[in-house]
Amino acid sequence: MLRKSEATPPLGEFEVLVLTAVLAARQDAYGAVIHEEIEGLVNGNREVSLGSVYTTLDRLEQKGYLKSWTGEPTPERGGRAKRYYEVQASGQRALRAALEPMKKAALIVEQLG
Amino acid sequence: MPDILNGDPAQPFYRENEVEQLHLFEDASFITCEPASYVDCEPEIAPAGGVDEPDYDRDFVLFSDREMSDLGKKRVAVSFKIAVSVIAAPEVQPIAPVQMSRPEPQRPTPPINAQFLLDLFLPESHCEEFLGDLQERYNKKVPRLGKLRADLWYRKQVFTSLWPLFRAWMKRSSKGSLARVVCFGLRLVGRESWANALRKVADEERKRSI
Repeated sequence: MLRKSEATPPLGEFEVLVLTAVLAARQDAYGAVIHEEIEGLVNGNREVSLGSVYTTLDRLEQKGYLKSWTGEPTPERGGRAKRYYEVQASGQRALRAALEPMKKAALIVEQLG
Repeated sequence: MPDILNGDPAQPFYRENEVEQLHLFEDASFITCEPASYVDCEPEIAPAGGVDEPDYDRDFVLFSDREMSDLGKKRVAVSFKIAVSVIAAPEVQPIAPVQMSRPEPQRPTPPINAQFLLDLFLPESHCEEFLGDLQERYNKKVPRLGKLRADLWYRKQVFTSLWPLFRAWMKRSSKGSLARVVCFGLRLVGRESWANALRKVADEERKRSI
């Protein structure tokens, strides 16, 4: 019998941010947009490099939480293609599971005033 | 007040203000028509004693019946000539509209060629996408922050991205084995594109300084 942690590998803090950003970007989720979304989420409290976003996206894809495909090259990107990402159902489940303790923690903090 | 409706023959046909209008017509007829038109007039209508004494009845008849009809004939003739010349004229090929190609706005160039740094740690396809994303964000930042700060942002992104990319590459390729690290070092040293890329960057910097 598989343990719960093996069935859905837990998400780190940055992975949660990246998955949330991909969800927020909806149909337009590619590197630059995801990076912008994350910068908006952390609200300037943390420096986020595009390299770390890319490595995290790669890792999440390997875990099966994301699906990616290559888009068309555009001139404003110097003729380079985009890589689009989409959150899979397993990714959404993992995100909910990762956010559950945070919600509880937030509730406790609010009750304390 | 003259009885116009009943046509009193003792009274003139027109009123005072109409006389002025007729004078205007008369002047206009002299301007628009050649004096020779009087020569062409029929004898019973043409003035016998010259044009010194104004005869409004006669002038009115001349203007309305003859001069206007002469003018009409002239216009018809001119129109006919124009129509003939238009029909007889060779078919003119329509001039193709000139395509005014608007010069493409010059896109700002990133400060360094990061490709040679990034393709060490990223797969080739990912490297293109990464550089494309960097370029896109840089293009957006230049008008907002200015060239200098956008350049700083770009450099910072490249150099802060190297460490996570290197770490991910290590994890992916070596899984902690020392041999892989040595292989990477050898690849780094023996890489010809490194030298080429460095030369390219140096050339670009030299051109910029000039």
